[in-house]
Amino acid sequence: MVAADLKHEVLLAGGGEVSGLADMLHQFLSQILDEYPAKSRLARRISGRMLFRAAEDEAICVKLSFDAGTIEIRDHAGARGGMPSLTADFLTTAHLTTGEESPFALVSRRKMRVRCAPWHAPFLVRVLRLMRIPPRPEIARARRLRWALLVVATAAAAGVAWWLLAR
Amino acid sequence: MSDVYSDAWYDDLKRMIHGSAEFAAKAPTKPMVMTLEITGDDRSPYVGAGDARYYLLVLDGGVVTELNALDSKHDGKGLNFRFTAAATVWEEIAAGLLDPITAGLRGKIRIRGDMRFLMQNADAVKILVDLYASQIDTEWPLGAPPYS
Repeated sequence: MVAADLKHEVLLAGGGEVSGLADMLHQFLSQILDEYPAKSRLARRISGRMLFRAAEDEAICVKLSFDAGTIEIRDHAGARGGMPSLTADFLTTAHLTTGEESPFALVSRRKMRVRCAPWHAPFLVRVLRLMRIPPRPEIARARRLRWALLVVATAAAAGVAWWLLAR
Repeated sequence: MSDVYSDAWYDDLKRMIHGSAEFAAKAPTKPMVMTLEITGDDRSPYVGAGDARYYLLVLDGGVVTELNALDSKHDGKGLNFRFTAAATVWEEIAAGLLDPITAGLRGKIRIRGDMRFLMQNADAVKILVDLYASQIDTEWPLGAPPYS
């Protein structure tokens, strides 16, 4: 029995005749939504449509339609039609999904191209959060430790500064 | 130089993987198990229509621990990925005529498996397919692609 807020469906339109990009996105999204309940909850809060284009061959383009927990993936040909779009190559997409690189860094280095109206930005940010694979436990622990050390070091520096000023 | 699909050709591939410092640096720490499935078509002179070849490749810490021909399709247990494509596609890749990543994105190579693992090890997978694509000196005794 799946809790109501975890229900999701990832649909691949086009049967066996789909592009590899659509097929891989379908497997990827199905797998992370099945594995991580938080992703499933996030998917239920996303509504909208976007295009995902392969930089290696811009004719390979996939439309992702999000509707309250249902994600439909289908190959897309033709104009953008006002939909937001992301264009990235395979490695950039991988680095984006694993959190190895931030989307802002990728955009600034022109490894990823984004075309969207300003009001699409929150939707795109939610989609990118959805597609990001949570770090492995040991990496998450190391990140938490780094943050804790940074906080302790900052507090210690502030304490020393305050003590010096107070003398 | 060795004949395409021969044992010597796969030994060359294994040697190249072992000789790649770039792959050693990016290789996943846990084992990566995959099958390569070559389905025959009516264009390849090496794997005919209705025929197929299956290979099991196991990498552990950047080292090839297994690269074997299988008698039949792998049942999928313990596999991270299954790469399936027509013989002509694999041969065009081996001849450097077709980019393997683009072939995968177009759906000429079907990839089944743990996409999270694929994304986490995309650099290593890219190096592997690039090695397959461009660095083996291949003999084509029955003719080289592109086929007419």
